[in-house]
Amino acid sequence: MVQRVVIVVSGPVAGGKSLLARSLAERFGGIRFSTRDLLVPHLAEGQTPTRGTLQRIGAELDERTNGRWVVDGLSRRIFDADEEVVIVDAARIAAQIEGLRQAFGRDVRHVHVTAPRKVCAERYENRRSEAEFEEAASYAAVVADPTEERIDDLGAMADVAVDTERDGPDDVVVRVAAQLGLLDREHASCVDVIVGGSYGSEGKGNIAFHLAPEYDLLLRVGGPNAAHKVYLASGEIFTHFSLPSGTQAGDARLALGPGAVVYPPELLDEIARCDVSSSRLSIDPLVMIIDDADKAREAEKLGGIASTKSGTGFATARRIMRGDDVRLARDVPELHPYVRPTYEILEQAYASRQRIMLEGTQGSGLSLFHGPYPYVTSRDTNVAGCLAEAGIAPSRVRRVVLVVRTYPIRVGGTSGPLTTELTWEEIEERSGLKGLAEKELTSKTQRLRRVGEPEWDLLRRAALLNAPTDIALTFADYLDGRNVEAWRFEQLTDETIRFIEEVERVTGARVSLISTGFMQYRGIIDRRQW
Amino acid sequence: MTAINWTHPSVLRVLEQQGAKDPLEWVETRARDLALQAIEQGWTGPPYDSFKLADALDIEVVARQDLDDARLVAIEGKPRIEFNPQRRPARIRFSLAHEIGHLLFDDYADRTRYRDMDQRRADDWQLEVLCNVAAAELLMPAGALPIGETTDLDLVRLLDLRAKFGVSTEALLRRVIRLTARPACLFAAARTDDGRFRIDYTVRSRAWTPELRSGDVVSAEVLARCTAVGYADHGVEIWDGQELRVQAVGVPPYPGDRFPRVIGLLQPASETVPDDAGLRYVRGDASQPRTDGRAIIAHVVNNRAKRWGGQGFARSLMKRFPAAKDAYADWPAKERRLGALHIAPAADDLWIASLVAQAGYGPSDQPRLRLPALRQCLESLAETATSLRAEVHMPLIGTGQGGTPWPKVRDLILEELSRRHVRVTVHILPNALMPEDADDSAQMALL
Repeated sequence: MVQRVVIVVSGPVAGGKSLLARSLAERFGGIRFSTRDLLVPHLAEGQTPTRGTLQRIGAELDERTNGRWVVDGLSRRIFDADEEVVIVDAARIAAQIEGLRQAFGRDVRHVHVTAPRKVCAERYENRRSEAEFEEAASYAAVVADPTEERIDDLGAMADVAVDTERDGPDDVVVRVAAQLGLLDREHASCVDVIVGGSYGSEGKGNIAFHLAPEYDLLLRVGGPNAAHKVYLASGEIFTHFSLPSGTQAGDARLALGPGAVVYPPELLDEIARCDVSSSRLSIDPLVMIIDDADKAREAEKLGGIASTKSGTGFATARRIMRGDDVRLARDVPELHPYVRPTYEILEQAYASRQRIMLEGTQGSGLSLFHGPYPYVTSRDTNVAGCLAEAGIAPSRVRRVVLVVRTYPIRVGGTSGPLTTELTWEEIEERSGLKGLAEKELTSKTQRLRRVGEPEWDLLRRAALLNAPTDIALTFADYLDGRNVEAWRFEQLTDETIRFIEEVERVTGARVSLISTGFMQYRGIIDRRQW
Repeated sequence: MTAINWTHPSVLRVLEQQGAKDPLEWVETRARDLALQAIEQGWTGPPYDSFKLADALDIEVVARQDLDDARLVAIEGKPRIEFNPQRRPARIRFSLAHEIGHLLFDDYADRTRYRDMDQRRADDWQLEVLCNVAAAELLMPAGALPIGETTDLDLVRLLDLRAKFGVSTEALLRRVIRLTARPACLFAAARTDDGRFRIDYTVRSRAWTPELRSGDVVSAEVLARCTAVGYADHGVEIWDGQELRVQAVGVPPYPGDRFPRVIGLLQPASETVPDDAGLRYVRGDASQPRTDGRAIIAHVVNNRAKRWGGQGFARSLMKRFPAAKDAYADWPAKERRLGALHIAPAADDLWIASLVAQAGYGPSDQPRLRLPALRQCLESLAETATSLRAEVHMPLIGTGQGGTPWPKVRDLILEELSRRHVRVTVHILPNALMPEDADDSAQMALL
């Protein structure tokens, strides 16, 4: 059996039927079937469709088939629709609705939308310019049709009846959807958040890529000052700046939340390289746009600290100043095909019980509020900050995965304190690995990273700020190169297992993911119990 | 027709060795014949199963996870397709068909096409485009598309079909343009640095007359709005002084490009479907075509019989045009092979075309009509009809003793004859049933 709801809409002309049907389809991932499309083939050769002729043809068909033409025409199109919500726009007589009920039984929901005749007449005139076919001379002429005249009789038998007189279009959708039970009212916890627990460069991208196939929706926040590397199945290394790291791990929907900051030329290049379509990616209309001037001013002003100079910080500052120079995603024509409100995407995902992954950027120790100012980034990097930027309520969170490096790093240059700074040679000596100095360049700025001893205090603070349910420990091979050969937890070296136990004691969370090396295939030991 | 400057060695080989003028058309024809052969061997759809096609062609198919999609390799001189089984079914179907497309290039084994950076050529995309076109032919064989000649060319609806057949937008529209009787033109364009669009190539439907040259640069707001793959838009615009209905959709960009390519359809802003385009159905007897001009009566014959058969349509031709019957009987047997065409004068301004497209005769559990042969016959017939400036009349060929569903035959007629502006009239005997094909309003009108 297919889990499907067939919503049939009725109501007077200009009562708001089609707008409702289209909005329901859009917001709840449904499909709209138009009964008008069934009438068009019945037009005589060369006859143009007008309001009057279509009304007449409909009435003739009603007469001839006792309203069955609607269900007969639609059932052969509905049966193989992939969508769970099917909207029939619109029924005009009771027999048509009866036919649908006979065919689809309890899955039919009849919605009647109406408004006082005066209001309908006004709307009718207002939308005349965008009519899809020739409309009648006046609303009075429309209502003269005998079927149209009795249309409000259908209100009595409807499952849901709404008077739209005082509502805006979105209000009608919410009212109807609520009564149809399409809205998620459970507020179930279905969002898993991935955040960094060090000073960035924890390998969040790879962990996100590993988990991504389990999700239906991947969200990213933050700006292109963070680069997330992933290792594709083909062995290629790909760096993401704005899109979620799981983009190429499957075909989940993608979204950039309203708090995100983007630089359109680079974003569009990334979209092109990942072969992402407009139906898959949504960019919130309120996403902040970095202008070239932001980059230039950062290069000049932020000279004192090691910043990526991506313009993210300055753009964020301008956004807060609300000057008239602010451009948001909705103001960029090139982004138009992707622009959709994140809350609508989230609502759809909640309603259909989908799993959602939110990918944060940078690390806990780089938070604007909780890191060692001024060696910080322009936002809060912890779980609460990421949720705020995405527009996700805290109670929606199911798992918080804190990604932690064995040896924390800082970007090269004046990037703030490390408790005990080490050299890459020392790490090579301890682990037996080679060539780390060549490998440990930052993704965004290609500078050599600084490295230090594990910072337990930083880890504890990250645990307090994020209350993780899971720790993903990365760079286990830096503790001991032999870990590269470990495929199971018990194959890790004893010293590594002791290290993991200590991480668990300090954070109060289980280390359920361990990354053992750069290799793309089986490079992560996964001991999750979820 | 094509503004693509073909540089890829495999493509150049085709141009040189096969005498092809347009690689796109060449690959289309080759793939179409391959599909028709497979259909004769019982291959069915939609969706058409690419695995069975590979089996029919004796290609080994191996699953492996470390591929992006699929690739064609040669193992000890034999073709093998390797594919990632974790992709979506439609994607796998397409990828397999795409790799089978690579097989049409006889130098496929010279280079392992893999995402191996140091082996990649900047113009590899040309080969990929051609194989996408081939894949579409394999996934939408003749008769597969539910598109009639007068179907409204609404891009959004056509894109729904695309999902059903699992083919690229570009390939689907190329096919639609060849089937439609409406004046329409397919164009493919790429964004230039100044935000205008360079026309890469155009394909005209048979009723389309305006000239739009590839290489032209146009400013078009509709195209400019298509900044994402899969985003479709439409509007009425003035191009080159002509008012057109422009529909466009973004498709994956050329490698290294920031913006998608844009493909779409142009139609006259006020469109009337010309009634003399393409296929007409009439109730009547094809052996007595009513026409003021020159006419060719076409019928299908088998490759075994020395003379036209003693029943059905051939019998009425025999009675009416004995001279043409004798001319056929004098035709040397060795020339009477599948795919050959025999033209015999029958009367003033009237010829009989015998299409050798049926293998043998008598009862058979397989259709005796050979679609690849029929396609070849129709192609020759188009040439003859064009040079004689004659229209073609025929019964429902291939559906009787040939035993083939009409839509398959009809699509071949549309693509081989109608597209070349040869006017075709199909005669259905007054007491016969219409062929099963409710899509054509022209036919419905006859019911």
